[in-house]
Amino acid sequence: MELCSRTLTTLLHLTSPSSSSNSLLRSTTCNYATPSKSTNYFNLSSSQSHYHNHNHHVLHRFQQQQPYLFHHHQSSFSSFVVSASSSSSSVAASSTEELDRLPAELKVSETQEPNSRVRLQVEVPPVVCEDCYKRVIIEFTKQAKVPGFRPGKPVPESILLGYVGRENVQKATIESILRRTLPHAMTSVTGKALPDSVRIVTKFSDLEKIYSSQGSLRYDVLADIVPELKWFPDNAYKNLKIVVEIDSDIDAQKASEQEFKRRYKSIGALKVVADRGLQVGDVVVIDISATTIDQDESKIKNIPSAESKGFNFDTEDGDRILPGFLDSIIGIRPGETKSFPLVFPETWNQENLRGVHAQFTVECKELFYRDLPELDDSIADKLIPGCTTVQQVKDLLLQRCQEVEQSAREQATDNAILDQISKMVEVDIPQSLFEEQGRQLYGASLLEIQAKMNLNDQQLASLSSSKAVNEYLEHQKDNIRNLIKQNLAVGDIYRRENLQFSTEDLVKEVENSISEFKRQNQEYDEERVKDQVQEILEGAKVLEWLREHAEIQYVTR
Amino acid sequence: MAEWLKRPTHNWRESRFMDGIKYAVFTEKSLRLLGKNQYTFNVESGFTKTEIKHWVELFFGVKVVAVNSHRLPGKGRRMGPILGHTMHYRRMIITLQPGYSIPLLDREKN
Repeated sequence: MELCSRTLTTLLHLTSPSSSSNSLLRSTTCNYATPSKSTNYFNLSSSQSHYHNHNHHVLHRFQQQQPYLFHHHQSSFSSFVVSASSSSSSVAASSTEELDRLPAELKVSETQEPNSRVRLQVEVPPVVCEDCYKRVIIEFTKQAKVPGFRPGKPVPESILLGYVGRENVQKATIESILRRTLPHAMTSVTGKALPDSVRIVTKFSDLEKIYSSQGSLRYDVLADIVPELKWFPDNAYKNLKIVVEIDSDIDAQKASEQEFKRRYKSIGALKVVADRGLQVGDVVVIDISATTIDQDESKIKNIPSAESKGFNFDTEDGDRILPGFLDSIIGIRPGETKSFPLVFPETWNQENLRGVHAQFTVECKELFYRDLPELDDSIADKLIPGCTTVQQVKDLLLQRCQEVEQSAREQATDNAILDQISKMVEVDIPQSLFEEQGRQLYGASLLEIQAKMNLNDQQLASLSSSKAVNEYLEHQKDNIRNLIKQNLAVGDIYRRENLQFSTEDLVKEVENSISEFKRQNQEYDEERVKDQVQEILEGAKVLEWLREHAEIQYVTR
Repeated sequence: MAEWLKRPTHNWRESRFMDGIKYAVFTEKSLRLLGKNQYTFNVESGFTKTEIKHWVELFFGVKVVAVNSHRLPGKGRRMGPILGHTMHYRRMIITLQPGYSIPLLDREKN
């Protein structure tokens, strides 16, 4: 009997499952691979995929092949994620063709959880497992190069098992079961589930245990479904009453006059004043220092924010500084130092300085007056090239300012409308949506930062680490929530009101953005671009509609 | 194994045991031959057909009709200056009398 057992063990170990088995695994799984989306944003999520468990080396093959399918989170909570976006296409394709192919029905029980989340408990009957096992074996037979057998020739199952490794086959089988049954299990939430939010929460090691002991499989799936909007009150968006506050800065008349003055002044030459003190209309270079006033000498502090050296002070713009400051320094001569007390008004920009009594010391360095040319048509060309009369210059400036005002007004209106809407809407925001939106925002701001100053790789890496992102998410929580609410509300209104946009616009916009991508040599996914453009157009349409149907009141601040 | 043990010997019944039979071979051909009631084993190089026939009949309790054998091509191995070779085996294809069989594969399912 000894010989027999020895024969068999040596047989099993005769062919060590080495590199070829791994390549086999890879190639088997390749067949399931679906093309992953290419993103133009930083792929922040990819930084999360970690390979931390030796037992999962089969899965690693998957991960290397298709990073979107399985993310191993760094946390000990080693759930793995099957991204629904990549599988959704295959779900759609396979659900129709594979739905009837399962030899037995799955048992799926659904439980609602907070945050628009659904937990599906899926029970896979042994028959299905058996079927999947057979498929895996067939796949392995096709791919494996077992010594003594020509490629593709039938190999007895036991020999194949010995060659590939029982564990590997088991893992592949579980993998296959999940892949085949998940679309079936998800049928109840198809169309409702958010992309990228479907995740299998049962640990893989647990799955293995269940499978090896019972021959069947049970797993839990968490999916975020599209949240339902609730309007307070119902159809509240139809009669919006909106008060838009508009900054006085953007008033076209004023702005154009200011702009005209500025341009006019910049033509005039600065000349040194020698024989008199400071007058209104002069430009003065001064050093300012300020201290707080207090009975107790020891409490006197410097006010660093009020200090400046070589401050170029145009006395005509006196309204921007502290009231009384200009009056106090009038008559100052170059080289002279003046000291005077002032109180910061309650409306001062910096909050910590409001109402503070301060002692200012001003040293006048230089004093200039403006030698302005006559204001007539001859200088019009200097004010704005191409103009012949002063009136023309004024008109042109007014026109420009009006444009700016108009756009600012529209922007303010849109913001006010969106604000109002987000207040009326009650939504249970799913975590995945929240995270995605946050990531997008973070990516956008990161891009902005990078455009402003060149970050090196290390800085970039530290900024795009998951910790930084999470901090950002935590910090911007309300902001992001608001944004999501607005987005969802806009989408909802679009559907409810049956708004349409012309396909021509869509095509045009898509072409525009694609040419933009091409110019910057960026990769792009046409489908994705199309989606995004569609969203933007929808948003624009909804806002237009809302503007038409809302009472808008403009208030100037 | 010592070299002298590999050589055929006349008093093998006392000096050698059945552990000369190394393992059953599973290749396409050997599986095909199983259908003809022929079993393939790799055995120690110096073992004779008679010896193998004796041990197989003794151990498995079967009747051996014929034994065909050939020596496998040895593969050279070299570790730097040292020349060596892998184990040299002799492959025995044993034909059993119809009605007898040897249980080779453990067909347990995982």
